Amino acid sequence: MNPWVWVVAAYACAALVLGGYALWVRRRLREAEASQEVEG
Amino acid sequence: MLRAFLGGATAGLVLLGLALALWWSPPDAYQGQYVRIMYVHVPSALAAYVAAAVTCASGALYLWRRQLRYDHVAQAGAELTVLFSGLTLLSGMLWGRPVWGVWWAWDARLVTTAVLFLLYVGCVLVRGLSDDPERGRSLASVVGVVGFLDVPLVHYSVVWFRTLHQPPSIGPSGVTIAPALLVPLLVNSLAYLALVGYLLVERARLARLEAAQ
Repeated sequence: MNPWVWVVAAYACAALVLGGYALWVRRRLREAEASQEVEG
Repeated sequence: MLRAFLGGATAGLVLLGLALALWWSPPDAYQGQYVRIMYVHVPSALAAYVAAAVTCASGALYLWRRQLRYDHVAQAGAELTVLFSGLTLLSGMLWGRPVWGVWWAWDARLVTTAVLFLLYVGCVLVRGLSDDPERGRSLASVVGVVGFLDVPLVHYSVVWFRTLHQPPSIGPSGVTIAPALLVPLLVNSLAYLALVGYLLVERARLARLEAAQ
């Protein structure tokens, strides 16, 4: 198999795992900040 | 302001690391193009060590001082240890299959890394097991502190045991890696360290905001 298939798979995994977590944290931060403003 | 700077610097370093890893780095004489997977694998392992160290230190501080701010950092650190040690295992498998011919081997380095991953999965899960939040936080702190004992085992497993995994390329005895491969490795390591720092700050802030609600 073309070596680049494995390379791209490794970088796609990294992007999914780290990018997914970063986006999840950002989304929940926005929600938490919004609900704090409403309470304030 | 500081958070925005940290986020911008991290994004810049990650993009530079990607360019060096996928475009600037030449293929390795033995591994060929597969060396590019090392620029994910090694920095992920380094980031997992740092996240586990932060979890251990903040967990110990929480057990001692009982202040929630330490627990927020420990909570963030435990999740990031799971994330980065999981990515280390995943990228190692994607490198091992074409180079070693197997996805997995019962090798000391691989097994101790899998144990690190499972210990911190336990650390994340144990927090929610108790009905008493204080007890959950204490249990998670204990697992976070004890789990860190595995980090030296992971790191020195290639020295202490006969393993399939190669020994460290950068150590007290010198550097056994060509500069053309060393530069992308160092830049990507720096990028992953910045990323773990940024995610720690943001996740701990989220834990603090959620605790205040």
